[in-house]
Amino acid sequence: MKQRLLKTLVTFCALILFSGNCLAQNKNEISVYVGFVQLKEELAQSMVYRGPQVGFQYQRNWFFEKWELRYNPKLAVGVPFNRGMIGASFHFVPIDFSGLKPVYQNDNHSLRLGMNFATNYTYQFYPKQLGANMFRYTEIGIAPCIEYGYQWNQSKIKIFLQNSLAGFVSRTENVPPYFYSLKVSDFVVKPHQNMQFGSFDKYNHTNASVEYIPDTSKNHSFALGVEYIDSYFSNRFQSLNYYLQWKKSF
Amino acid sequence: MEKIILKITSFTVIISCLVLTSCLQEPDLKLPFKTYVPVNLNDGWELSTPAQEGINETELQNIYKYYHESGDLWQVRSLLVFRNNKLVAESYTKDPTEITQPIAIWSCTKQVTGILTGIAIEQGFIDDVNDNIQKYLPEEIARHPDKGAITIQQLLQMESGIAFENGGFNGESNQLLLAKPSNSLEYILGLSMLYASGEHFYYKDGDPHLISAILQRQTGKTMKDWAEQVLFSKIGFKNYDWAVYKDGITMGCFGISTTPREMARIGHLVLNKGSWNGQQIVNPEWINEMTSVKIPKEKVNFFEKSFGYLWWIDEDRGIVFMAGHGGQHVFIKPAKNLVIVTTADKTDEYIQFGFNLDKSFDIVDRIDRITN
Repeated sequence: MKQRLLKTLVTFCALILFSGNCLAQNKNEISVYVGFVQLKEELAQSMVYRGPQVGFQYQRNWFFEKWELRYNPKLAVGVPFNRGMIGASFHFVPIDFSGLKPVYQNDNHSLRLGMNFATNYTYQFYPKQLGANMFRYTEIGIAPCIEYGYQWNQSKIKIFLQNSLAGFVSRTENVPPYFYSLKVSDFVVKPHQNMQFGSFDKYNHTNASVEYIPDTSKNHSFALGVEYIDSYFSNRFQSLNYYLQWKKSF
Repeated sequence: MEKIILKITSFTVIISCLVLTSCLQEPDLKLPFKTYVPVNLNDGWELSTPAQEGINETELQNIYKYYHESGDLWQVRSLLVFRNNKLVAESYTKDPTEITQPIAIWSCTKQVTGILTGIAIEQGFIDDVNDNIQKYLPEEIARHPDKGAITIQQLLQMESGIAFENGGFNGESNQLLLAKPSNSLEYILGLSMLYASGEHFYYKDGDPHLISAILQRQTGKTMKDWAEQVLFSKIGFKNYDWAVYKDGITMGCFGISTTPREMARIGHLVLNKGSWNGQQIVNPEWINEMTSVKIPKEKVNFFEKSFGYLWWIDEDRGIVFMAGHGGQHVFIKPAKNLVIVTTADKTDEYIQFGFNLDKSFDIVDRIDRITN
């Protein structure tokens, strides 16, 4: 089982990393972002924990004539607080594929539409408040996205908007009063238990960003974005993250 | 054109941020105060009014308002006042259903274990409080001879000397909460000794859990079942659960989930020297022993309060009390025939962030002052 999983992972990584050899165009991009995260967990009395978050994102782009395919995994770690109590959050997106197709283009303006498929895992801990309990939210779903670009001289601005459509979601269901479990395997097994399929009746996940490319001949850009997760099918969990992102392509 | 686009973009981003921020406003953590008048649940509690029982109603209302509205007391969940064995005031700050919905009362379980130890002695399951635990756990002590000198009394006084640590992620309490050891008795007895037994008070969950194991061995029943038979059924303590470790031993240190009204039954049993509705459930001598100072507060490493047999004592106030993690308390003031119950949200950093004992006693003192 482990060997099969390992082989799958190696094959997946190889396809991603060395795919440039079999495609005409491609682009790699790494980015770091700093943000301000807010978490509201019903199982933690709906107290809102707020604090800094840092993240790392990798992006791989493939271009097939007019189509663009992006692979966009990321990992973010937040350290929010409430009333002096520290919390911790981890947002892990191992799989994030977006396909975008232009629907309008002229010299300055471009508009592209597409679809995203991603697996989102968030883990939250409130150690001062609720000990060693782990709170989690899993989302495996699709989301339509739209990207508008405007270019003038050598500068460019891109506005990106994505909102969840449907998917499978899973949530922490309760906090046992006494005995609990916090094994390494819980981080993998529990997020995939009791998955429920749904759409806006279960959750909403919004990504929006504005990216500014100062000089298109250079290979870096800045983005200001917001990501909002709201799962309300079980105990409600909300996460709101504003971030400032620096991207470097190579 | 560029400037217009940049302006529109900036405006949109700012408005979006403001709109989304408002989505994550924290709700009021407590309900506004309405009334402290208790509801008749036909659960055996006689209801009365503060005035009839000699408590200033206006001042009590102010205390309840403060309890509901103070931001400093964001953790509190309930406050119940009993006088002369009657329930005179009751309010739930977060969820009114908690009037019948059990919550974890954590270390208040220890005080129940203390009472059950007295019943076990009375019924002959334990010969003497000074007996070595070797007498009751011979096979286990043969495997862990360094624990042979520990007595029942030392367990009741947190003086076993066993290196059991309540706090921290790697602490022994957390290992039990994570249900990592397969056998809780072997796990505790297998720990090293921090002090020689009887030498120092050291507050820990391990000692009362050993008592539970001993009572279980002696009575032939889980402490949960035996407690139901000899204690709970006799005082109308019905709405509860008691966690059992995976090896079958009832948790003697924490593990009871119950309601504030049920907690008050334990408090009144002690207030009335072991008697309930005229029936003697616990030997009054044991109640006196259990609630008299065995460890003066200067030697207590946890609260700055004195300790009896698993019971806490505030000598200055003339109060004996049950205390569970996060602010679960039953305060008994025999001189005024007064029992006060509080429950609160558990916070792991109880002293710093929780409804700690100082905050609790502030409320208790205020009620005490308005009680004639």
